[in-house]
Amino acid sequence: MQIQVSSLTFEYPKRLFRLHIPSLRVESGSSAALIGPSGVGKTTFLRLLGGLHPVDPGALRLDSVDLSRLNDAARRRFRISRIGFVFQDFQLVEYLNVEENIRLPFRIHSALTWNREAARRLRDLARDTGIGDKLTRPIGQLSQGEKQRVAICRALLTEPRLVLADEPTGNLDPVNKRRILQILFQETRKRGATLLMVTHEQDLVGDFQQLIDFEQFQKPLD
Amino acid sequence: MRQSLPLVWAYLAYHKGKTITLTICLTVAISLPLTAHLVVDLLQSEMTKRAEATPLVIGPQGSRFDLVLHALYFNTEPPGTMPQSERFAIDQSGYAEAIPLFSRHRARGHPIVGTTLAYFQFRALGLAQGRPLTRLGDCVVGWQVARTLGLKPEDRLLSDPENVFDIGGAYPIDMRVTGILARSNSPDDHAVFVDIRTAWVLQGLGHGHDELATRVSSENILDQNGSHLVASPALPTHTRITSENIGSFHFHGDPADRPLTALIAIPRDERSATLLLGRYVAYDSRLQALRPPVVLGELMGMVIQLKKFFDAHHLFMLGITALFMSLVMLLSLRLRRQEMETLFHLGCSRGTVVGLQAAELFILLTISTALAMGASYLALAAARSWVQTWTG
Repeated sequence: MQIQVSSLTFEYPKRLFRLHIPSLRVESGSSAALIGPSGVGKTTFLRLLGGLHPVDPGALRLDSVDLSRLNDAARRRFRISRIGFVFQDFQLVEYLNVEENIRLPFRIHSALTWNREAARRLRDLARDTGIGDKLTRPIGQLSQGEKQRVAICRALLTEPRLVLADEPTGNLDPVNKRRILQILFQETRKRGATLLMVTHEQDLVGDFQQLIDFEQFQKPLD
Repeated sequence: MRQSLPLVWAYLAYHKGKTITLTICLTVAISLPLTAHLVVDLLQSEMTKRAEATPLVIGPQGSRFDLVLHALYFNTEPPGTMPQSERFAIDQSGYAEAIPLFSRHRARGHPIVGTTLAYFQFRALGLAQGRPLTRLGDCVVGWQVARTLGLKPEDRLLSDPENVFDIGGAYPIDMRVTGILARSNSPDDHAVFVDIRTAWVLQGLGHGHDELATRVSSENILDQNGSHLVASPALPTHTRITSENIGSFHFHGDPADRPLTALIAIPRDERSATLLLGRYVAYDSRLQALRPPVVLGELMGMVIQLKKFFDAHHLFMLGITALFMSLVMLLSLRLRRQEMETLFHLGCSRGTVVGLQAAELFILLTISTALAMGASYLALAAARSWVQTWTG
């Protein structure tokens, strides 16, 4: 999925700065690392891309879709069908087992139909990410690295065209960090999806095709 | 929403403690008023049913509740006794048929009701086993009595001793069970029926003993004046009525003076009923004639007043439970904020998130209501037996 941003401005109420992106382009199927100090708007940008915040003013095009022209419900539909989220704190549901957590998007959105193909995809993803034998386990019995793999499987199960990862390696040890990043690259490339990842870790950014420093987009309020 | 229900189930199953606690609270809050309502309705219907089938009750002055409850359910002490002459007077008046009742004794805890065969016709009581009363000392037992005491026709049933210190008083009678009544789901199931004369024997008004002039030893004769003999209170009397000794049973005094604890009057028509009622209001202050539905209505009025108080109490409790539930749900929402945010991030609408919470509450309410209904049903089944025991 190609991302095109022009003259995008966003500010939270009672904050001392605003995010202003005059122009930005990420090619379809590529990977980009969003870097910069905390509070410069990296996560906010991911939320704008995910349609969690309305885009106004400015333009934010994902392939041919201009998010600024979509209402809340349309943005939500777009998010569920085209975008996968991976979070630093995994955001898994403790009372569901591994398989049910991966399947969660199908449980909460009637637009997604659970069928044999989806079930096969789930098994393949779990196998490829190394949690194929843990599908019936409760979430509480998994290690941090395994939890993040579950979150990645959940994000990819709907076959999104864009994967947004907000510091997915932030809570992991060095071995797991590298492994998770490999999985993310491998699985998004396999599907031709675009990967945008927020990270503070300089040793990981070298693997990305594009680096976007958000310090440049921070504008103090008048 | 349907595909989201497994999430709700999973949440409820995972948080077993919370689910069970909330379910118990809701079940109790729902079942208490429901059970109270059903039991009061049952009590009202059981009591009213029998009262409405009994046109008039006549008996001695005193508590009208005691008189009606005694005549209908045999379980309360009557206010006193009335002479049998009243029965004859009613029969002669032509206003009504009078069915006599005399019930002051018990057999292994069950009331012994002395009456005539007209009572069985009036209550449409049929026999499940055996044959009807044929002679003095026979008894026909209610279905529940037979079941509880394991009685069958030709068994013996001893009446309970009334006073062990009164040597000269009435002795228990060893009665012959001739029949078992068919189940009627009424107080008749819990009673032992005897002929009115047998009841008087139990009361000590009739007895059988050896011939004084020929077969009694001289220490049991207090005085002899020609053919007139006065027996000692120590003279042994028969406590079992058999074919051999039945001829020796006899009553002293005028039959019109023999006591009745109540009369059930079946008027020929409404006018006769009114005239009969008027007769006791205008001329006879020693007796009272009552319409059981009216008296039971007054009694139930008190029960309903009490029920209103409990209804208010239950409503208050339900309110407290609702507040408690709201508090738990609000705290739960707080604890689950992260989870809800995750669902939202994954594309779940805010409406669906609220729907999930509502579904959770709905499932809890459904399970609790089902449990409450089950509990109320069981309580009602237990109460049915209790109501019948109480009224029977």
